[in-house]
Amino acid sequence: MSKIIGITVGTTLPKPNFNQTDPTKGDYIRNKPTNISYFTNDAGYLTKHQDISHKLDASALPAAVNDALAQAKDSGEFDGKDGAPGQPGADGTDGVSPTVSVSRSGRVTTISITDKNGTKTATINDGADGTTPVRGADYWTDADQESIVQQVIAALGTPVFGRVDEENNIILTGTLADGTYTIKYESEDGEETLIGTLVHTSAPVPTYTNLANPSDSNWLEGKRINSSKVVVDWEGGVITNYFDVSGCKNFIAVKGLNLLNGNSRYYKYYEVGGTLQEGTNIGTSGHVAQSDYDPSVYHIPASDIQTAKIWRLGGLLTGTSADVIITIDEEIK
Amino acid sequence: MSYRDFIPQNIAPLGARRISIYDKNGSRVGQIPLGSLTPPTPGKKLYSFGALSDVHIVYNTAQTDFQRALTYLNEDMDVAFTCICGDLTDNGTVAQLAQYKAAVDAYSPDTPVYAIAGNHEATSEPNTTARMLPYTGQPLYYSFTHGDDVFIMLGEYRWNNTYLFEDGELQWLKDTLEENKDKRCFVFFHVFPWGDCGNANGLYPHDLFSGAQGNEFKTLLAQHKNVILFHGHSHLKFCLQEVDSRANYSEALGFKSVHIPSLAVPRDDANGDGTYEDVYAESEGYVVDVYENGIHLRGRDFVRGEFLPIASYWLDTALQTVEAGTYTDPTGTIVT
Repeated sequence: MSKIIGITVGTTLPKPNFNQTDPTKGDYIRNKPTNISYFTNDAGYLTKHQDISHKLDASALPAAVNDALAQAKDSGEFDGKDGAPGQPGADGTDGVSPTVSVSRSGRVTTISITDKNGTKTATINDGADGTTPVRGADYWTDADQESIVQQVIAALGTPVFGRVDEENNIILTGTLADGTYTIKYESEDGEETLIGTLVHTSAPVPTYTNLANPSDSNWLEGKRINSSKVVVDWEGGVITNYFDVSGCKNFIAVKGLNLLNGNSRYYKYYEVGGTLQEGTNIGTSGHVAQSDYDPSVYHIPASDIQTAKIWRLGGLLTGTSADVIITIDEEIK
Repeated sequence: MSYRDFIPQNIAPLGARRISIYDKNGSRVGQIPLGSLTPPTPGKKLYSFGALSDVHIVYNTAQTDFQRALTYLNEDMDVAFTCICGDLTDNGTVAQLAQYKAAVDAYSPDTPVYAIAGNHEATSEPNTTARMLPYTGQPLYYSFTHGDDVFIMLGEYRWNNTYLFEDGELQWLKDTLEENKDKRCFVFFHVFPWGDCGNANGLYPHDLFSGAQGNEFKTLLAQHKNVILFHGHSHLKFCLQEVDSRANYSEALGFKSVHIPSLAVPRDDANGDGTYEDVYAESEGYVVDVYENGIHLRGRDFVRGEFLPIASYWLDTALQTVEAGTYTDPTGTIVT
C-alpha cells in the first residue's frame, strides 16, 4: 500500500461535516467561511420557498383602494340621512300664448303666427285653374256604359258571352232570345264536337212544388163527388188526384180552380188500420179565402185538414187542367 | 243560362280551341275560351289501351257491338292492348265463352286482349277459374306490366257478396300492390264498389260490396294512392253524368275510380222514373291514352263513332309516396 502525501492510498476519506466542531476529527472543516454569499447585503435571505401569489403589487394599490371605496359606497351602508327640505323658489315671468291668423289677398293666402318671440308668416299661392270634366272624354255615365256594351255586342254580331268557371261550368251571358241553343267544341281546323244543348227561357222558374197531376188516372174531368160520396157529372168541374197533406203546417194554396162554386168540395181520406178510408166531403164555401196577392189563388187553412192524411179537391176549372196548381205551405207566385 | 254537366276532371278534346254557341237556326251567336276545360300539358305520350266492359256475348246486339269495338281498337286506334272488365258472356257457358274467344281471335288479331270474369262468368262456380283459362288465356286473377305501369286483373269468383274474391285473391292483391306501391297500378274488377261511381242516381239497386271482402277491397285500394280502379257491372251510360256528377268518375272512396258503361247493353233512365232501361242500340267504352304524368280517358260511342265530351277526363297520376308495410287489415279478411 503506498501513501500519497501522508494519506494511505486506498483509504476512504471521511466526508466533511459542516457541523463538526471537534478539530481532531477527520470530517472537521477548518477555516469555515462565515460569508456564504458573494454579496455583502444579503443578510436575511430566503432559506425556503414562499408563496407570493394573491399579494398586491404596489403599482395596483391605488386602483384596489378605489374599488374598495366604490363597493362601500354602493353598499349603502355608509349613506348619510336625508337633508331638510329647501326653500320655495321665486315666481317665473308671465308666458305669451301664440296667436294664428289667416289672410287672403288675390291668389295668395298668408298664415301668421305670433308668440313671445314675435310674428312669423307663411304664404301659399293658389294652384292653376283646372278644366271641367267632359262626358265622353273624362267620364261615362252608367247609361253610357250600358249603351257601349250593347253597341259592341251589335258590332260583333255575337250576343252571347261567357266563361268556363273553375268547376267546368259553362256560364253564358248576353241578350238571348228564348229558345234552344247548342254548344260545341271547335278546333282550329273548324271541326266541331257537340257538347250539349241548353234551353233558355226568360220566364221565372217556379219556386214551388205543384202537387196537381192531370196525367194521374185519378184526375177526373167533368166530374164531382156529391155528398153521398158518389161520382157524378159536373160540366167544367174536375176531381183532382190524391195528394198528401199530412205535412201541411200553414195552408194549402190552389190556383186554376174556382173553389167558391157551390159544388166545390174538399174530399178527405183518413188512414184507418193501414188503409185509407174516405171521409165526409166538405163544401169549400166559407172555408177558403182569396190570397192578398192574387185573387185567383185560394188559401185553405191547415186547421181544416184535421187528422186527414190525403186530400182531393173538386172545383170548376178556370182554364185547363194543365193550369191547375196545388201547393202545400208554398205561395203560388 | 249555363251548362253544368261537366265535372272538374273533364277536359276538352286535345284539338279544341274554343266553345261555340249556336241558336236553333244553326247560326253562331257567341264564342268563349275553354277556360279550365283546357287540356293540361300532357308530357310524353307512352301508349294507349282500350277499356271495355259488359260484352254479354251472345245477348241481343252483343256480337255486333264486340266485333265493331275490337276492330276499331285493333285497326284504327293502334292500342297496345285491350282490357275487358268482366261479363264477357251472358251466362258464362262454355259455348258462349267459345264464341267470345272466336270473336277476339277474329277481330283483335294484332292486339292482345286481357279479360277478367264478371258475375255472369261466376254463375257456375266454383269452376270459374278453370273455365276462364281456355278461353281468355288467363287465370282468374293475374297481373302484367307495360312499360313502368302495372295492370292488376281481378276476376270475380262468385255472384254474391260473400265470395266476390277467391280464397287467396285479396292476399295476392295486397302483396302485388305492396310490391308495386311506387308504380302506377291499373286495377280491373267487374263490380263497382258500393258508394262509388257507376251507380248514377242510385239506379242500380243491388249492393254486392256489403260483405267483408268488399270492405277489405275498398280500404286496400284507398291505402295505395297510385291505383286507378276500372269497373263496370251497372251498364249505366256516360250521359248519366248529367243527372249525377259521380256517374262516371269519383274519388269518393279515397282512390281514383272509373266506371266503364256496357259495350252491348248500355242502360239509361230515359223515362226519368228512377229505374233503368236497356238500350241495345248503343255501345260505349273507353280509349285510354297514357302519358308520363297522367291519363286521358276518352269515352266513346262506338255506334256513332264519336268520342263524347262528357266522358273526356284527365287524371293526374303523378306518383305518390306510400309507406311500406303500413296497411292494416280492418276486417281480418286477408290472412297473412
